[in-house]
Amino acid sequence: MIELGLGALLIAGAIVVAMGTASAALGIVDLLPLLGYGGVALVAALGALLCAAGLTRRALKRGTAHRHGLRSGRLTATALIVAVGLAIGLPLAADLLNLVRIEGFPLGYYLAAQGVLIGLVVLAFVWAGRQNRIDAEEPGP
Amino acid sequence: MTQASVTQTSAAPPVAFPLVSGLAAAAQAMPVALIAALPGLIYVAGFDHLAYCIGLLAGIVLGGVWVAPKLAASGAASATEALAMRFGVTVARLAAAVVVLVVLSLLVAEFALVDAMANALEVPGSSAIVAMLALGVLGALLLGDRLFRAVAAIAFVLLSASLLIPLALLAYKAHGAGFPLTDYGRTFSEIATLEEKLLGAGLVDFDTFSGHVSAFLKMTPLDMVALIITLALGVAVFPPLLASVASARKPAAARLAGAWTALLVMVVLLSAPALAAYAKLEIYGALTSATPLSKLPPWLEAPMHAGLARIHGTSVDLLESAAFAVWTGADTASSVSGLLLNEAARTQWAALDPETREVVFGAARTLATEPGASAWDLYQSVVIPAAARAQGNADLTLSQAALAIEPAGLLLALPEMTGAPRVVLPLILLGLGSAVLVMVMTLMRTLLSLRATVVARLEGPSWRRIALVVIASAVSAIAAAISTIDKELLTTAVVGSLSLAAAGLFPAVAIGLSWRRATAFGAAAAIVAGAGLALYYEAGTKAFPAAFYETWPALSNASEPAIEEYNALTEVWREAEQGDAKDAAGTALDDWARGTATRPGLANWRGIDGAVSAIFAVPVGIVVLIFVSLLTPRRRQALPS
Repeated sequence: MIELGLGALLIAGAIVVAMGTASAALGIVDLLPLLGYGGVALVAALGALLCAAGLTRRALKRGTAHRHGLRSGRLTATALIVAVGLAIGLPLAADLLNLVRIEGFPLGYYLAAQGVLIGLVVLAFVWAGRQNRIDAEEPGP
Repeated sequence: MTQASVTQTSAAPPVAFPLVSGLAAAAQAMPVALIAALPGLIYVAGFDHLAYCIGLLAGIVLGGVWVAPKLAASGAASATEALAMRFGVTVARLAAAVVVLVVLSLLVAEFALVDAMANALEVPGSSAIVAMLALGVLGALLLGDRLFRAVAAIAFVLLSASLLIPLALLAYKAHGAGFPLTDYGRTFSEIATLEEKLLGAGLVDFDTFSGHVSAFLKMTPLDMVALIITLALGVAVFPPLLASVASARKPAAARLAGAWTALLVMVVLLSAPALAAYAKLEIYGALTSATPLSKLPPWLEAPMHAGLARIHGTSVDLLESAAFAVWTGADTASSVSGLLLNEAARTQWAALDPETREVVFGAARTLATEPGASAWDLYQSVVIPAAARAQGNADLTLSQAALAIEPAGLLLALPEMTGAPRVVLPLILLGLGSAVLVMVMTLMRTLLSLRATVVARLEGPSWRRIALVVIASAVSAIAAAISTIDKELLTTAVVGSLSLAAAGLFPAVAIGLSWRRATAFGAAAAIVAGAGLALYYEAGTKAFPAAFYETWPALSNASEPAIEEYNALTEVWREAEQGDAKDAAGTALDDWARGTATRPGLANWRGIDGAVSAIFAVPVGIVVLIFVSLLTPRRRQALPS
């Protein structure tokens, strides 16, 4: 339930911010210039994801005929988000991370050259293992 | 193969030892032409080109753990077969058409790499290509699945060795004993010192120079993201990867095989940035120590023979091509250009000034007529001084602006950089060559496997004859393309074909196969829309850029001055007389709209490069898949064939 509440809050927040100047009239600080429409969309997407996670958890708790589909759907979504964060998010933050140096490596460069790759392989094994466990635990799709 | 795999699911063969099948899948996971270029790509652009490593590995994770197990679950041996089983043979044929286009262009890229490797060893490229083609065809036709898997596994081990051994030697040379993959952190401060030295001495050309670790100097963040996404989605549906991982038969085994493949490929991908860093140390060291042009570092010899490195716009390859032109009958400098056979040499020749051409022609005549003459010595003593003086390099030292190394060329330079004996270069190329051979066989096997789905319902000739037709067409296509392919465009060609694979196959294979509501019409429309859009964008921005810009002026990211120049050129074109003048003006207009490596053009959508169109073509394909599927009846399983 906590995901549902948080998700709804985020979506509502995104809508208020997207209204821009109108939200200022409601007595709230105008955050649109800070976030931009892309940022607002990101916040709304995060809210929608949280809602979906909450609904999935509730459905699984109450018992459903679609346990396999729900569990593997949730796993796939999580894995894809982690993959996007690793493969796209980290390299985009490289300039900032490069300010830190470890063992001679600028951190941003190190993460893009090695960290992301190692992370992706760990993701591959975890993803494969969890999906195999779901396949074993739940009756076929 | 269709019937066999459907009936075999009940009695699946035992899963092979995961290391062997993982190694075999790793050898088939991505085009070797791209792996060979990785160190050179990272050498050129530093951080920005790490996108290649990230995109490739992300693609292998997606393909191996997510897409291929879907094929295994449906009992299909390949993506086209899975589409045929789910949506019918028409959809499979559309997908097969995309696969054929992708495979043929990748084959051309692999053969261009073979040509370059042969030239580096001073072996005629054409005979190496013929040998590779013959071996590839024989292997693809004669090797059984088991034997082929063993061969592929060995080839991947050799490929890894051919990257890791030079790395270990270079690391030892620079820093003594240690673990090279983590030790190369020390090179960064040394590279930064050398970069400052080059900048301070004014030895750099800002069109080609960029700091090694700083982000987004060569590419914008959007370009980098587009490249990562294109490679990831393209490799995720790369037919040989899917087929080799799905050959584990059971989804659970396929997933683990996919993860193993990713781990093994990671080793190769980790070595590329390390090789680039050590190579940069070596090359910048030569640049800052005022190396005289008459005494070039020995590591330049191999890439220069291959035409993959140039100094002041010339290479040994140019001299050798000119000598061949003399041998075939060119008797003056002006008659050489018509007789130059390879595209790279033609481009280099066209860019030279008349005096340098005379000097190259003189050296070529010496080379062609005197049996004992060495191309490398003649090049250093005669051609280079003339080319350097023509470009205003009076003190005849090597400079960053004068030296251009193509991505695949750096790999050829690495063995000599280690200071190891000469025999290392052929050994390294043997390792690389075996991986290329396996990739060639894999691509041909992919073509052969299409016959099972494409002609499944047709009464036709026996499979051997079909195989011959398929291979004959492959051979002719390659023969046609090899004579004109520009080795400098190798990487772009590979990325472009992976982009086409992603655009054409990803929506139907990755989404279509797992979404129950997807219909055959939806899948067919997604393939046509995605592949069509990718082809249109690639062709539009490269082949008819002016017309493309006129069609989509609002979407272009062109700057005001560029648009003004474009309008001025349009005016010139409009007022030019019919005939040659009009054609020349039209060419100038197209060239301006197309842009070059260092100057952005006008023909684009939001600055997206033609080779990475998958970033919008895949979403379009997915949207088309969803809409058309929802609009067509649910229970219709297959299109009429």
